Order: sequence, then structure tokens, then C-alpha cells
Amino acid sequence: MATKTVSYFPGCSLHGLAKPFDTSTRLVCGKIGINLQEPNDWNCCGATSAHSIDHSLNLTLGARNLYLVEKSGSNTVTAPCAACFSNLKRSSIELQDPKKRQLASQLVGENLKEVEKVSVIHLLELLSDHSISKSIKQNMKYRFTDLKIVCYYGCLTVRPNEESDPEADSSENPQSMDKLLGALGADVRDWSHKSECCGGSHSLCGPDLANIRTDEVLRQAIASGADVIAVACPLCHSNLEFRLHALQAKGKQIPVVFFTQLLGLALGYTVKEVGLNKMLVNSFPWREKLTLA
Amino acid sequence: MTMVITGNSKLQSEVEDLCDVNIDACIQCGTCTGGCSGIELMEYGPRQIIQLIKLNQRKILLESRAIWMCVSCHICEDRCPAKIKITSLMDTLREMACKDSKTKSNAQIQFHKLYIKQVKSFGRSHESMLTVALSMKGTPLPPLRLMKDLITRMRVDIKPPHRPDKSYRLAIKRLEKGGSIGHGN
Repeated sequence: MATKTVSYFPGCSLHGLAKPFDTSTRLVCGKIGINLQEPNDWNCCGATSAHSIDHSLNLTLGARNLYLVEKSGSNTVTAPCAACFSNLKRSSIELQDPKKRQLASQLVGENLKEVEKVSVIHLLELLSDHSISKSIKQNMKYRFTDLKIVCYYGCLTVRPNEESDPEADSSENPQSMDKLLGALGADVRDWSHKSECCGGSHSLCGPDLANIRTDEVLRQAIASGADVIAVACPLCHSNLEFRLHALQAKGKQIPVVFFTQLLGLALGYTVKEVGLNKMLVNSFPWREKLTLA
Repeated sequence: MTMVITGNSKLQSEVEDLCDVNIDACIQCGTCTGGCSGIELMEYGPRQIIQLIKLNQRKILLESRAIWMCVSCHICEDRCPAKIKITSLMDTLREMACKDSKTKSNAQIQFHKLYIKQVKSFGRSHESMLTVALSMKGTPLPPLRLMKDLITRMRVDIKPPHRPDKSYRLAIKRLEKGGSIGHGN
């Protein structure tokens, strides 16, 4: 099995509420020959807050992270968190401007000449690589039978979208997660809200807007007939999960899981190993949906 | 009354100096507003915001609820046929509002400031500490039942906060001494 080393930027959420996203990502990558290298002392990407009210802070945070990746000898960094991905990518685009790069170099205290060589990709893009998809297929122990899934990418997994990048997924009708999970035998449903917003950090500061957005996403996901919502962003995950929890008495409950947890199950890891027992809706009959590949 | 507009408004020039947007490219098609994730709670959608910039309505804009209801989802920017960087524009307006002494605080400003304070001190955010800090400023704690379910599932971060290297602390120090980089992209 070929091994590939990439820089891995877990971000703050994957050390907290979204720990199962981190655990399952590491298991999946380990199994298929991807060596994830976490840059030493990475800092927060700034999330929604830094770019909203302090642009200089946001670019300094991004520039330092990209510098740490470059210093570690890697030319690719992958982030499972949509906000980390989007912020790192925006910073890397901005740092192509020599004037901004010079200012950021002064603030970070390092020469950022080489950071433009670092390419920023979301974990979905990394796992969609042809040779990696092949490796997933070779290592598949189980396939899903009669499991209906909707893939919820959220807004930032696929944005900013660079038209010039032929590898980039479509922002309006993304396919990368659909293909990955479809290859595991799941019945991946087409639906309307793949890359709509979950309300983001508004859930933490005046939740009206986040409730409007999550209610709409949940309604559409359930209407599509899905058993499970697969997500690729920790904030989408907690917003949908917490909203379902609040509506527990009234509405249909549907598991919201990280796509890497499903990949992990197919690769032979247990429900507990991929952290599905830690989800708020955790009583789904996963074992019944798996047959030997 | 007929209003004759010649040249760019003062506000348009100010915004264009701060961020990499071309306000004149807007054709007022409303695609941005049609896809906006915050529109239900905005008094002006992004299309109107651009028009208000052209009309020099600084006070209206900086005091608006709209700029704080933008969730930075990038959908407007992604769909804009004129390729206007609307997300950067909204960031710029928020930053201008924060620097304006007349701006009253709101739940979003309070949240962003607390979050940034934490990131500056620890290099990373810490969900449990952030929740406690927010509750001390008046944001209600999450429902007890939710907290209990998260704790029993071991989803809550109980580790002490990260201690960043000296290089990080120095970068923040330089930034606080007044280093700044313009908006864009």
C-alpha cells in the first residue's frame, strides 16, 4: 500500500465537541495509507469571529498556520473542519499578494515567501483523490445495505470556490461526499440543501437565525427519505444535533454523523471505535445495515 | 425631489480603500439577496446594502442589524455574476462599525470579542470555557438536558486550555501594537 504524508489541521472543534470527527478521520486515514502530520503549535483559524471584526488578526492567524505547515516540509494541508478549510484557503489566496505577504511576514515574525506553495484542501478533496478512493475500495470490509443517506456539505466545505481549480467540487451541487459514500453501497439521495448554511456561529449568539436555517435543513433532509445525515463540518454537526435535541419531544429524530464515521464502519471499525455511540442520536441499528463486502 | 449623483460617494471610496471590491460592478440583480442565509432577520439585503453604500448612508449601514445577521456563508459572493466579494464587504462594514464609537454592542459583537480574547490568550478556542464566559455576559447556558447528554457521551472538552509557543504570543503582541493588513479576497 502506497503511503502519502499530508499536513493535518484538526482545528479547535475537533479537540472538543467534534472529537469523533478527529478520531474517525485518523482511523480512516491510517487504514488507507495516509500519514497525517499535525503541525506543531497550530493556532485557531479565527473561525467566524476574527474575519468578522478583525481582518488583520484573521490573516495573521492564517499566515502563521500556513508557515507552520511549510516549515514542517509539507506542501499540502488538509482540514476536516469547513471553517478552518475556508479560512486557511482564503488566507493562502490573500498571501499571494506580495504587499500583504510582507505585512503578514512582519506580524508573524517569519519569512512567508514559501507559503504560497502550500495547497489547502478539505478532507473530502483529499479522500476523493483517485488512488485514495481505490485504496478505500481495497480495504473495504463491509458495505452498506439499505441505508439512505443525504450528504450535507454546508456552506464553507465548498467555498470559496476557485473556478480556476479543476479539482474543486461544485459549490451548488457538490458530489465528492456523495461519491465516497455511494461507493460504500449507501443509497445516497439527491436533495436541495447540500451546500446551504446551517446558521454558523449564530447558534452561540442569538440563536433565532440558526434555528431558521437548521429547521429548514432538517425538514428537507427528512423529506428526502434519508435515514441519516452525513456531514463534513463540526459546526453543521453541532447545530443540527443540538436543534434535533431541542425538538426531541416533537419531531422525527435522525442521526447526524460525520462522513468519516461511515467510512470507518465500512473499513471494519466498530460503532464505538468511530465514536457513533457518542452522537446525541445514538440508537441507530448500524450493524443491521452492514454486510460483508 | 430629484437626486443627482455624480462620482462615488464618500462611503464607497472608503469601503473600496479598505477592501478589494468594485461596488460599481453591481448590476442590482438581487442574486445575492435571493440566496442570503441571514435575510429573514435583515432589514436590508446585500443588494440594498450595496445601494446604500452608493448613496453614502454610513450611519444607516453601520447601525443596521443586517451587517450582524450576515453569517459569512459565501453564498452571495459565490453566485454574484459581477464577482463582487460581498463576504469581504460585509466583514469590512462590521469592522468599520466596531471601530465607530457610536456603535452599540449586540450579541454578535459580544460573542466575537469574547472569542477573539480567548484565541489571543490561548492560541485556540476552548468550547467549555467559552460557554462559561458567554454565560457570565448574560447568554443563557445551553439546556441542562443537553449538557448532561454531552457530558455522559464524553463530548465536552475538560482539558486545560492550550499554551501557545512564544512565537504566537509575539505575533499577537506585534498585532496589538498596531500592525494591520487591508481586507480583500
